[in-house]
Amino acid sequence: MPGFLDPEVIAEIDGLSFPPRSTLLGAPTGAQTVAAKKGASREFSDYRVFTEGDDPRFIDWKAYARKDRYYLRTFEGETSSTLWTLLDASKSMTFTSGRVSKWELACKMALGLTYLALKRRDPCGTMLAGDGPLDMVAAKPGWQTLNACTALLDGFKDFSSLSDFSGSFERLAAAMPRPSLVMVFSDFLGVTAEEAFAGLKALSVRRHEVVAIRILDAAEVDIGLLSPTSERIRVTDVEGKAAEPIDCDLSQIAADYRLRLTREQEVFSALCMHHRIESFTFTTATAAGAALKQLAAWRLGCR
Amino acid sequence: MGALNPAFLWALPIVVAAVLLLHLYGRTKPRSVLAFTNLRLIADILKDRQRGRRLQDIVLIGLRCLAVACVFAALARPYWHRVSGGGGGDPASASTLWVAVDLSYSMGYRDETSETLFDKSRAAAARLIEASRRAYPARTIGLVAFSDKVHEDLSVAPTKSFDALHDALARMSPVYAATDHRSWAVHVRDAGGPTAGVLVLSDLARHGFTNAGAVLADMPLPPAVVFVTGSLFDPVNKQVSMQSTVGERAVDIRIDCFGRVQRGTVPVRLLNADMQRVLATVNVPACGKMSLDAAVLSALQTGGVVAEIPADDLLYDDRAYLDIADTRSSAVMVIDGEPGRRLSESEGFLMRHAVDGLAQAPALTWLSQQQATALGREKRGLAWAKEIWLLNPQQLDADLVSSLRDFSAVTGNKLVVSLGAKADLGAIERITGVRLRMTDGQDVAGKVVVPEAGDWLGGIPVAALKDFELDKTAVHKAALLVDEPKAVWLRVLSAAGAVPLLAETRSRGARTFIFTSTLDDDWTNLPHKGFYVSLIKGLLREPALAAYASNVVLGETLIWNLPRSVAMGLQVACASGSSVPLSYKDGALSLGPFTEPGFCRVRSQVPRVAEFATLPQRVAVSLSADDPESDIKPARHEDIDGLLGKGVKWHSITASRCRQDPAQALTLLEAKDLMRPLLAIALFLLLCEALFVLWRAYK
Repeated sequence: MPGFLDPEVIAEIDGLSFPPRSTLLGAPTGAQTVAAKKGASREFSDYRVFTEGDDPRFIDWKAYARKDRYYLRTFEGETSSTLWTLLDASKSMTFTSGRVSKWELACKMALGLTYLALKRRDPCGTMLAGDGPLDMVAAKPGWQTLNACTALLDGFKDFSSLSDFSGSFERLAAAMPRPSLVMVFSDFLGVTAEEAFAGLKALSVRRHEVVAIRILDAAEVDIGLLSPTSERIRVTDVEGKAAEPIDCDLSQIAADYRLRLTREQEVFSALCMHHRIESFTFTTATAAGAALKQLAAWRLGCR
Repeated sequence: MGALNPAFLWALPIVVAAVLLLHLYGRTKPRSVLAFTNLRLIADILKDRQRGRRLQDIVLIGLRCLAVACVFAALARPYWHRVSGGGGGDPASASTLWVAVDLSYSMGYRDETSETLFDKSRAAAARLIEASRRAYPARTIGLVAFSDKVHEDLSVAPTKSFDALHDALARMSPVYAATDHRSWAVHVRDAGGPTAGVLVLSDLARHGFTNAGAVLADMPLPPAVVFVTGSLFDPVNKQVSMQSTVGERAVDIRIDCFGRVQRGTVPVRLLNADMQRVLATVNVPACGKMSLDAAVLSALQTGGVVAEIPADDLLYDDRAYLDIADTRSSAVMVIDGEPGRRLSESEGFLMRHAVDGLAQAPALTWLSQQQATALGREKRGLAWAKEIWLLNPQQLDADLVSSLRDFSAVTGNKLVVSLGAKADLGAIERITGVRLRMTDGQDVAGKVVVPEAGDWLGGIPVAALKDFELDKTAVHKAALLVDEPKAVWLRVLSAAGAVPLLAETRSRGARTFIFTSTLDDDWTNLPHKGFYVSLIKGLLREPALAAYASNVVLGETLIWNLPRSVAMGLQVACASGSSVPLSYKDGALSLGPFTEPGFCRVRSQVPRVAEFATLPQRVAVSLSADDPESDIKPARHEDIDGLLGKGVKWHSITASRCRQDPAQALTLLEAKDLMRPLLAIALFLLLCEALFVLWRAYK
């Protein structure tokens, strides 16, 4: 089975940029120098007149020789931002009614984002979560991180855990010492919208920038696809949480199901928006490259 | 309030419980299992839906249980005891209770308990009279003995003398007569006075109600009628029938029973058409059927089969003979010995163009003698034909003679031979077994002798030939049959001097007609040209097998026109073995009167008499001139309504139940039958349920 780091996806997104939400302008001085010290790139932006308190190291002496005045070189500096991709590794992510599973799409997207961040020399890390932290690759810059993340995702097979974000995100947040961009990939199906949001909120309150990416199978959006004819079938829980299977005719409740799912989605989005958490929903019918382009476009719009 | 079949009431809780269990556990189990992720949402949806649906389910199962309960309650035949306007319910009322006892022949039916239906009904009548005397002391009781008429000598006018009633009952016995329920109804109506009701003890055979016109509805206070019957639910009759589809090679003997199934088998002897030879003996399962074996099928191909059923093995009067007829359409082959010699004088030409009847022949093949000779050389070349006409045969080939001889040996075939001036007499003698001679015409001069009585040969009139004289023409040469004292033929048409001109013989199995067609070279004399067409038509209509059955109503007499020599040799015996009286006078044989229903067998003490071949060999004696099956079919509700009138309430109760509890029959006279209202309610409930289900599906 080919790995989740899909060359076609990488080729598709290679020209994209996935910058942090805020870009710093001006000389990296004062509080803003923190990012510069951490080794962010510097590009000349403009001159300005030296004022008292400015760092004399940035005085352009050639300009002083020509103009007999002190000019200070300013740079367009970029803050370095750590990217964490957090993937739901519960068994429900393996469900598929077609060719691509939710897990596969999530992995491809996560590795694509990691690639884009590492191109910018940002540190990247990956965490797998179920009812608790399962495995992780620590956030580091450099291409070896991509290799480590790919190896982690390709090699992960233990999908026995349940979806319990409210319990696991508290502990995940503790593993992220400084504010980061956290991309959460999950179907958010095992819990209610409020419970799912509670987990995300635990990250958000620690000043992490949280993006919730909900990935659903086409049949999870329209359960009528599972049973096109009117027939009673026995439905069991993939994760085995529900004690009793349910006997029902899925085609009869399909419309009701769609309505309720949309309502829950709206509640979840509203809660996220209220707490400045971005949320996206993709189905497995969406190609990974297209989804990443959509995310990149959104990111650029944030600048 | 009571019930005629209370067993259904006992079964009612079980049935309702079964419906409930079916509803609870009878849901279709899912055939496929699916693992899904968002089970929480599905469970929430179903939980919300279940709230309203539970109430609907309760309503649905309630409707269903009520409908089933109503159906079972209706089957229990409940009745509601009421005090009638006719005064029947008042013990002090001086009204009359009529007890009508059926004495028809079918009441003599004896089942395996060795008790006849009449014995049962008489015992029930005695119990009814006794019960009425105790419950209604002031009531008088009238006794009506009836069959197709009221037997006044056995009937008793309304009386309180119970000895007289019992004496009359003791004197009663079934008679050989049909049932006519109109007779007792008219008797009761004409008697007048307040009537508490009529108890009719009968087998309720259908033919008893064939007389149209309401009788009791005319009365000021129409009485209630209770039929105490053994036929509605008791075993009474069975019908034996033979189903014959020889063309399809599927021949069955079927015995249909009415009422309870009779155990065991019925032996049936199958005889050939002449009843001279037993083909097979088969055991037919009662109320079942049995396919015939190859030997019988083969016999059917060649003619007919008669099934003989021993009288002791039948419960009713169908105890004699039943024909299995060959239903195939006859295939006619015409072999013309002189085709087109002179068209205007050729018999073949006349047959082809002048005889309309030939156009209706289903399978008619014309062959010249040469063609027939070629066909005769083939193995089974003529086997398909059932009827062969040999017109003026000349110099017949030995192979053709052999084939025709085989053909004429088969029972059920028909051979017609016309003799011309150049007939090959030797060959025809070998084929038919009849001696022939040539004549110069002198010995046939004179008037043609024709049968006196009516029509003959397919119903053709013979009056045209009565005054025909052969000596008016010049007879030069003709072939004639030799009139021997021991000749096995039936002379149909004779010349003067008793020289046969047209005769029938069955000397060789097939029915064979031989006639002299030409008495001169010009073919102008005999048969007469005008008569010739009628003769050919009649011969065509004549079947290969003569009619074997004749029907007569009980008590009637049959008249057969027969020569004395034939009539004196006949014997007619009924199924019981008793002989039917015969008397002969002026050429007419009188048979009967037939006093025993069933089939009577006609036998000839002189074997191989040709005249006997044309006689019915069994006589079916039926009780009624109506539909013969009406004897063994139970009466329908509309028949009974038609006779009594719409305003008359009637019930039925079995004789066995009546003997156990005679008071129940008396109660029924004053009771309202609740079966129909309950069935109507059940129908309404089922309709409601269907509408409810439709509404829920739409919703």
